[in-house]
Amino acid sequence: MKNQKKYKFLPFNFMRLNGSTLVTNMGGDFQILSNETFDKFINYNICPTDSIYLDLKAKQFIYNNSPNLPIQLLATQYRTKKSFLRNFTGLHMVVVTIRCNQKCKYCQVSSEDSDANEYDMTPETAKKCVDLIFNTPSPYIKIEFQGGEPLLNFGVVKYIIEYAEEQNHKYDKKLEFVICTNLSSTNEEQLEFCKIHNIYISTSLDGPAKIHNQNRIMENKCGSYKEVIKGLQKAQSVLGKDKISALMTTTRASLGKFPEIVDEYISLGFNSIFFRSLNPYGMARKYQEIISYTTEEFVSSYCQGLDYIIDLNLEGTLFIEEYARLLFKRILTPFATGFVDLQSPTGAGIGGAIYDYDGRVFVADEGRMLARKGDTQFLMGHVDDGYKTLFGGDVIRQTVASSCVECLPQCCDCAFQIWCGADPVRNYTTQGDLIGYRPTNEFCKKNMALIKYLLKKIHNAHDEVLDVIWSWITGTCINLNNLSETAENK
Amino acid sequence: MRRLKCYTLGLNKPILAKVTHNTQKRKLRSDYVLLAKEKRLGNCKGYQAVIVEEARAEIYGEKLKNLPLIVVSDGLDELNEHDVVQIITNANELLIPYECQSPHNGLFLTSSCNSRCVMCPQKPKPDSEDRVRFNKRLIELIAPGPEYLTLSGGEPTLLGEQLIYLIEACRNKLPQTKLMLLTNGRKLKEISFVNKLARASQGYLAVAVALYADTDLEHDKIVGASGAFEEALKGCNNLALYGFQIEIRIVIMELNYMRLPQLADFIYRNLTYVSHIALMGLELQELAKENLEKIWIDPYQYQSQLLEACHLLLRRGFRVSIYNHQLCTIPQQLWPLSRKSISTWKNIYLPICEKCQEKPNCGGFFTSALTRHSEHILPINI
Repeated sequence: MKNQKKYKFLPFNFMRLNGSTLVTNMGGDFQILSNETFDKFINYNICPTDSIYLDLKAKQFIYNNSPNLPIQLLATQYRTKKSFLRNFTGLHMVVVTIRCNQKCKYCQVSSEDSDANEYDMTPETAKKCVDLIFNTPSPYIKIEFQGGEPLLNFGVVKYIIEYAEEQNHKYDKKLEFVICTNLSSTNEEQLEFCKIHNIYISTSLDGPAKIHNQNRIMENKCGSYKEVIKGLQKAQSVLGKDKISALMTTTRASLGKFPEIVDEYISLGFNSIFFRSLNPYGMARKYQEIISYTTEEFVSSYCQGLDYIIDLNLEGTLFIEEYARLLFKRILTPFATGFVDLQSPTGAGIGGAIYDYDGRVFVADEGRMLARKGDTQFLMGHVDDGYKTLFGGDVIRQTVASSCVECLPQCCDCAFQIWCGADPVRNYTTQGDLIGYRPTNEFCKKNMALIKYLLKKIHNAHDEVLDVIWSWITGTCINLNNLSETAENK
Repeated sequence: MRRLKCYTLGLNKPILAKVTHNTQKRKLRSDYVLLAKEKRLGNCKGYQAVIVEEARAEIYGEKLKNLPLIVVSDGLDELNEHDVVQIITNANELLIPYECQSPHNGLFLTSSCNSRCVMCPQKPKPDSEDRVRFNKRLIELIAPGPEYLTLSGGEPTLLGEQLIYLIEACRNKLPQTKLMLLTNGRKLKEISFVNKLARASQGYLAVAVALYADTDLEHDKIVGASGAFEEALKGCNNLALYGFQIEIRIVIMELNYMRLPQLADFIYRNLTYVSHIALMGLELQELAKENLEKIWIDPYQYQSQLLEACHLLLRRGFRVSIYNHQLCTIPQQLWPLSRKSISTWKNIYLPICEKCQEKPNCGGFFTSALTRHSEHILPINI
């Protein structure tokens, strides 16, 4: 019978992929349909006896009687996906100095010389930062020390950690510290302190010497590779390998060489890497011509690197690419992820905030770069202003209100919407306003390409590859041929 | 439950008592029946009754004055110290509602149910006796209690306040026992009832909810009640709100085996808090027997769906168990998930199983498998 509707729709987004159509529901669940089936679906031509009818119903794309149950299920899914919002700001980045002993070509924060002490945070400001941080309603607090090179102002790092721990007797939060250091000036005393206080180290390593040394350069103009490796090994032996992770930044020098970089990471004892693309801020702009590349070039390098890593896993080496893990988790699980740079609404301010050496507070790292050039768009205020003024102020409100992909042009119809996020700070920097313009937005272009690639991976994957992907998500590798090791015998 | 043939002498009221082989203190004897195996019989005053084997019936019969005698012809060796036995007056059966040595003890709370599942092995009917009082007494007798105790029916939640009362009794008398409530989840849509359950059980109650499909179209048809799917899911969410440990039980049959992987995925996406999933084979009694042709599927034929569903669940971090299946009918990779889930008294093996190396590890059959079983039962010899 024509025009008789056998079912009704619930909200969904769709996207044409190569020869098929992806449909996603509000909670992040998805189905890939043939184009023909999709056309039947939207024209009410799927019959209740088709198995695809049950698929679409079970995943809350359609309903036939009351919408009560599917709406409740979607509500729960949506709430689960957005549960990162429950706790408010948990990540607090403290810039204890903007002095640095390195002059990296892509540095996004344009640092000062290592003897320019007027760029250090004072203990008075540090105390105010900690007092402010403990105002957060979040039960988890991560204090991340950034710079410059934070260890050049180790006294204040130490002060903050000890003072925060003391304060925490009163607040009883889950408190964690991370020092982001290039490890080239680390000494025994600092590492011993890190050990006693259970501190994590996040360092920067771009790959083998010939890649790393092209961009990460000491003040004396020599590459920093040797110093970093020395510092890394020292840190690993004092703190244990699990306490130290590394970030790589992709430059022109590393394009197409991701497998070599991975090998370098593995040989140094790391079990994960984050293939990070260049941020268009700070020094990176100045050196753009030498170090930068197109989004397409990055994506193709990324995919090559990811394939290489998955193959390594298939051969038995447990090694993870962190951005893929994040996106896989978003696509394949009903859960939320805490990555502040790709959230909707944005993690800027409400997920993480940054305290500059002079006590000014910004919604994101890039905000202080803009401020140095006189643009205070992302300046929430000063530590003296108090928690309510800073975290309830116009800057954080405006930033967050402009960053819900559900109501941003083009994002609002995108089938990847629930897995993706907005970056208003980058939109502002690269395109002049918080909303941005998607057709020429490189951030959007990159994430679209990566998500498409991961979807293809999931869709075409053998069981073994899916086992690898799930082992990244859950941290446990299931081997169907040897279940007795993982299963309980009850 | 296990039953032994018997006849009684001098019995004029029903018996519910613990079995003992030893002499008990006088003031405790009213909780016991004495199992007399020795030739000599001491002073038996105070016991509810004496149980003997047929050969000794005459000797003892004369010695016992005002004490009822239970004569069991066969199987007396199966009675262990502190098992609980029951005799209904005029019945010629000794029922054993609690077996100390069994890992599968439970309280049968009610015969009535608000669903009519097409594969139900126990046709729902109104209770003819006061089961609440009976179970209250049983709880007292089995104290200090087993490690695990299931609360089953019928549909136990239909007892309402009385279920709460019995759970409180369990908490008082059996403080070490972990309870598992088997339910269709429908009444748990009432959050106030779940709240009461939580308060009564204080963390010692896990709940196993039956879910047979990933849509109401199929689930409601199987359980014979419209709205049941929605109610069960609401029930699960309510249980999760109160922090209950939740298990999902799926009986696999012709009507739902095709979508086992999809059901597994549905559970992951919508009931993320579930900790354990049990995939169960059919027990062909009563309604299941009547509907045999509609529900029967040879487990051998759903191997690929079972494998896919288990793999999907394990990858996502669930604990998975396979109940009521024979090892020769399921993929070998899944053997470690198979549990010996059938209560010992109704657990059988076929003659052909004697030649199987894996018999000690195999769950075997329900007695009802004599009605029908897989056509792929073969001794395994690796």
